[in-house]
Amino acid sequence: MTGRLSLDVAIIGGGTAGCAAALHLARRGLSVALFERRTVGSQASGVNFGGVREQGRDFAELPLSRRSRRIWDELPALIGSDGEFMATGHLKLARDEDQMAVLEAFATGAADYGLAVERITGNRLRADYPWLGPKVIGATLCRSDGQANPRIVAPGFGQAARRAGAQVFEHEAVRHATRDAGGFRIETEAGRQVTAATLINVAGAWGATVAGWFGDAVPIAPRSPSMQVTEPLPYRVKVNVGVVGGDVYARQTPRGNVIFGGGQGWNDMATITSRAGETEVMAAMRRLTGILPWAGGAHVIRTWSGIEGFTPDDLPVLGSSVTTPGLLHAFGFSGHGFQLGPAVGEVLAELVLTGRSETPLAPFSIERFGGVLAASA
Amino acid sequence: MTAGQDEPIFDLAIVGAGPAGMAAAALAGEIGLSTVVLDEQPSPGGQIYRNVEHAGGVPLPGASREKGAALAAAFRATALDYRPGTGVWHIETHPGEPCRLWLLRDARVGQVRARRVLLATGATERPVPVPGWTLPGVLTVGALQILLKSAGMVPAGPVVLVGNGPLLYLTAVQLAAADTRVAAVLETGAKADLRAALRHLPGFVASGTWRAGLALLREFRALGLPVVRDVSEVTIEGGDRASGVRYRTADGQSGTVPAEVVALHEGVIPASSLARAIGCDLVWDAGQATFRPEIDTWGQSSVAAVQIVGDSAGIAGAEAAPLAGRIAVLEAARAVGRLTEAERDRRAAPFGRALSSLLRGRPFIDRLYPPRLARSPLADPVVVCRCEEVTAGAVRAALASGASGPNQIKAFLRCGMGPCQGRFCAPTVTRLIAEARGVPEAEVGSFRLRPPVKPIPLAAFAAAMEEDAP
Repeated sequence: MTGRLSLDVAIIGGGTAGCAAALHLARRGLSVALFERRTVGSQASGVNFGGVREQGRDFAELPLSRRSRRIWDELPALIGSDGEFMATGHLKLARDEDQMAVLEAFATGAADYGLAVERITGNRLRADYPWLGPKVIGATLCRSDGQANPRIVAPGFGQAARRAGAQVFEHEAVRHATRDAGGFRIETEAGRQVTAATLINVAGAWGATVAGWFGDAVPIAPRSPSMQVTEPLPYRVKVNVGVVGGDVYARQTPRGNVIFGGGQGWNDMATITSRAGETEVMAAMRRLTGILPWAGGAHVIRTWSGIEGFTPDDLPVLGSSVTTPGLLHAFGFSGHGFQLGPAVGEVLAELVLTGRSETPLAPFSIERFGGVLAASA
Repeated sequence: MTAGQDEPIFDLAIVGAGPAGMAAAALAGEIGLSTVVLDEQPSPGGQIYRNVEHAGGVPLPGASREKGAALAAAFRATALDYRPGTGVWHIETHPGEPCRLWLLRDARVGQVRARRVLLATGATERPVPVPGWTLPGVLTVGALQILLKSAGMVPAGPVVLVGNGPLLYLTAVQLAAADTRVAAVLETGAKADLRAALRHLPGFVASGTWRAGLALLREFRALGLPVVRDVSEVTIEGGDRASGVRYRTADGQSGTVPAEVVALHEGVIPASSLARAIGCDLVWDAGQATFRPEIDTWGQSSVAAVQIVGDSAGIAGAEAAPLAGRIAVLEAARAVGRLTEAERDRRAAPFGRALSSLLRGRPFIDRLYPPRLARSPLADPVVVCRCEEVTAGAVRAALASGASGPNQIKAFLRCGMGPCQGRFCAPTVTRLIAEARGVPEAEVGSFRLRPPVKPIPLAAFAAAMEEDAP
């Protein structure tokens, strides 16, 4: 496992964004290696809810999200798998008038970005979605949203990157990285010595740690959304369902399993373990039976979680380092990065190749946190 | 119900009231540990001494009715918080805090807290994935026994027993007692197994466990059933349900017997779902061809507050289980400050000697009845994961396209993600990976398990939350 490697680009983290960046850069002929501590898609990219959603996002994220949505349609051509993506629509529910106002405000604003969101209330709501509980008073539907299987998306990008010539090292954590006149020097836990002209930090919940090696300060909180799945039920809920405030969300697979989440679980960054929180699981179940009462008789067969980095404003860090030329960051997706991953990979490749991106990135600048650490290297 | 800060914290929570759990609980009570016993069955006894308190209960091999009844009587005589009909579906362990056990009883979710946990969850039948094993009409002998005991549900058509081990003989004897004649017994033992076992005969003789085994064997032989020995390449035939069993004999001949009910059995393996979900380290047991929790002589697992005893820590049988349970309780008592180390050692010594003697008999049984069908090469079309209908071929294809371990197979194929959480497919998936990569199964490992370890009705949670609401 030991050896030396000299690269154009080194990537730390095997989530969707890192694998997609590796794919695009390798296709452009650059020498690329990606280092993943476990296996590709082990944390937030691989074990999330599986929502592919533009509705409800911060407007600052919509240009990036719109770009990503186009890629979701092209996945078979891009990576040789559709990731089980289905444009089922995302139905966001309101349980009172205030929540309905939030939905309507988003629908109005989204139109400026070319995103169509329909208002659905009254008889049409009951006719189209007869499985909804009585507490739901209205909803908005974004038909172009959908859902996919997160367990195969990041690995699909990883395999495609490999086929394109990128080296994807799994079970190989990066111990430390520094930069000197010769570029980046990276040492892995396996003892491999790597030099690279460019370093991409897509280390998810650990992104702030990597940024800290170079003095870039980002306040990140590791959280673990609680996820649950039921035994297969008759296939009724064909849209991806959320609520204003996000305290419960659900979707049903064609096989019939209802996947739902809500609340935060437990994690330990030192041992890289996480699990759904028992109290949160129970609260999410009660909320689920509020919006989908017919699921109340189902059995929950499994719960799980992963570790994701959340920023104070729930927007990611995406762009160049403040302190270190050639260092790019993309992390802190705050629980809604799954849909964005494919576009983030493209943006990172653009930044490496041209130094700029066609997608506005100003809201994601690391400078908004204003801090520079004393370099710990 | 959720916070429960004013609820008592037990010294010890025992999961399972089979021979290990009953003996452990009785001793815990005697020592004065505050103890809660959580068991799925309506009465003590576990699988092996199911219904032992009532006349007519049929004990399984390796056990005597009197011993089971005595354990149950001592258990009943001890002051304990005994909760029958209670499933444990998750245990939270955080260093320095009491464990929190999540329960399901009468379709309601609840919890208890305890400083120490003793898992005595017994054994489960080893899955035997042969072509046709998922057809209606095919079950395990354990499932067949349960059908027999519940209101005399006797199979109508021809019954064929396939596999090996004492439980196979016992089932034939029990079916005969219920006026059901077994059409054929297809035994998967080979002559080489007997030779391998004979080297361990002295230990077996010294252990004394041979008496019950020999008596059972005599009873089985007296039935005069058609027995075919040394069969391999078993295929269960049928369209929408089982209609026959095809097999190959030692001399290369192939045979077929008609069957409407086919019961498969190649021994038992530890029921380790809870231990896995908690995160206890597992170790590959080559002699028993299974993973089991890694424990020391006190039953201590890799998780500080959790001990594991009886068959759930490695198959050792109903005679050994009570001894292991008592030894573990003495260590639990030391851990909570109730016994000194010297007292623990003094009291554990006789149990330890008796246990060592019994364990010397185990290799003979393990060699005599090794899993054969369950370890035979698997054809691509054979279903590996029953819940998600994943075939051996699909697992091989995923391995060829880059999946490296059991958890990736699970992620890519949903294999092991169904309601059983891999209880039926985990051993097979590990074996397929080991074959494909040319490495030992020990190195491959097994699925991670996520709570709940058994399906929980959503309504049970909703009910618990409402009680909790102000």
